[in-house]
Amino acid sequence: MDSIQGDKLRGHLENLVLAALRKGDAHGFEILKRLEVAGSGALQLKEGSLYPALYRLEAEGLVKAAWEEGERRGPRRRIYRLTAKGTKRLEQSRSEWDVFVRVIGGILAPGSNDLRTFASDSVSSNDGLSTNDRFSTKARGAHA
Amino acid sequence: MKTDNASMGEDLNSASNVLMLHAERIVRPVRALQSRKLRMRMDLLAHLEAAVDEERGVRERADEGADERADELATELAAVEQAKFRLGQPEELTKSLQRTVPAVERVLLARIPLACSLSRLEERHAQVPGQSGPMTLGHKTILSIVANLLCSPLLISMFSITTRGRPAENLALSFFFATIGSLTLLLLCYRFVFAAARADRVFDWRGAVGRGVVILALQIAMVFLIAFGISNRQASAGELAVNAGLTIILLAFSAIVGRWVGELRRPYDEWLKLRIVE
Repeated sequence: MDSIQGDKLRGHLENLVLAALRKGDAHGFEILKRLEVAGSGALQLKEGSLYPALYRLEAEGLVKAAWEEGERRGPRRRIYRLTAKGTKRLEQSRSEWDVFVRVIGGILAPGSNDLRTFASDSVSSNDGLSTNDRFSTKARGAHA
Repeated sequence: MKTDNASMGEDLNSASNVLMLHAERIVRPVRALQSRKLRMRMDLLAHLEAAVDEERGVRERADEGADERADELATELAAVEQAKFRLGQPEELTKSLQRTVPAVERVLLARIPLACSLSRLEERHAQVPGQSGPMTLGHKTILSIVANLLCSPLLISMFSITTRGRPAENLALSFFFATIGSLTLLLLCYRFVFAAARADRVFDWRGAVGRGVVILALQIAMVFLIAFGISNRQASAGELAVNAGLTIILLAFSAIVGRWVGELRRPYDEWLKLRIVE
């Protein structure tokens, strides 16, 4: 499976973190592990980028952080928790994502007739129309 | 003489310091309040340590069968390097973290020439490199107020003495010695309070008691001197008792406040004493 990293993840990291926290409170490293497991190894994050995302979410009140209780070896950790506002935002993001996937997926899917027809037309015809003109004409026809 | 194991233990311990240094290298340039930066440091350090544990596990499983102790150190160092790599470029991470700091903080802690020279001054004199100006100033102000308060029994005694009796003939000489004594007392009080505010884990009780006794003795001597110089009489037992009692109470109070400031500074000092080589 091709890895998903860098720019492809831009803008989605916050939602991914919220989704990871929906499974329960966690510290930074555990959030990362949850994302790795959920992504079946295809998700490749620069691990440091997680923390700016967490701080942004915290500033927006979507997550809350508290120092870990009890003694343990090593530095104290901060445990992040999803707030009610965060849960609401996650639901909203999920429905936006569903719409996005439906629309873009519909266009990119192999059975997407309009674009396939358009592509074959543009190869075979030589009518002097620009690509945009041809697409607009087709779209108007479909709309009518 | 160190055993091999002890020496290796130190090396492994220094691996932990490497992680701390790496986290500090990322966080120190961020313009933010120290409390926010401490959260960043702790998050990154906890992450790095977890990543090292994970990498160590992976490598140990891979090296099963190889039983040389030197391999343990090599594994540890490789795990540290891999954990650092996984975290990403320090400069990029610094920039990302900076973007999460509210604009007000960024502006307040902006690097302007005057602030830079003040920071250098602070580094030289306060010896708390990297600590933010307002926080250092706040700590120093609290400690200075307490140190001055510690001198106040002398002022109270002086006020009490001047309201009675006639000045001695050698008033000028008494004034001279009183000035020298007061300044010495002030310096001792400052030393007492600032020593109590050291961020060490174990409080130096013996040193504090020693310095306290010297302050108490000087206070009583000063009361004697002032009583002779200003009112030409010996200090009464009541005046001495009031002075000594107040001084002891204030010494205890100063030690508590100093210790409190030291406790506040300790989490920062552990990070700030790290020397980052650019």
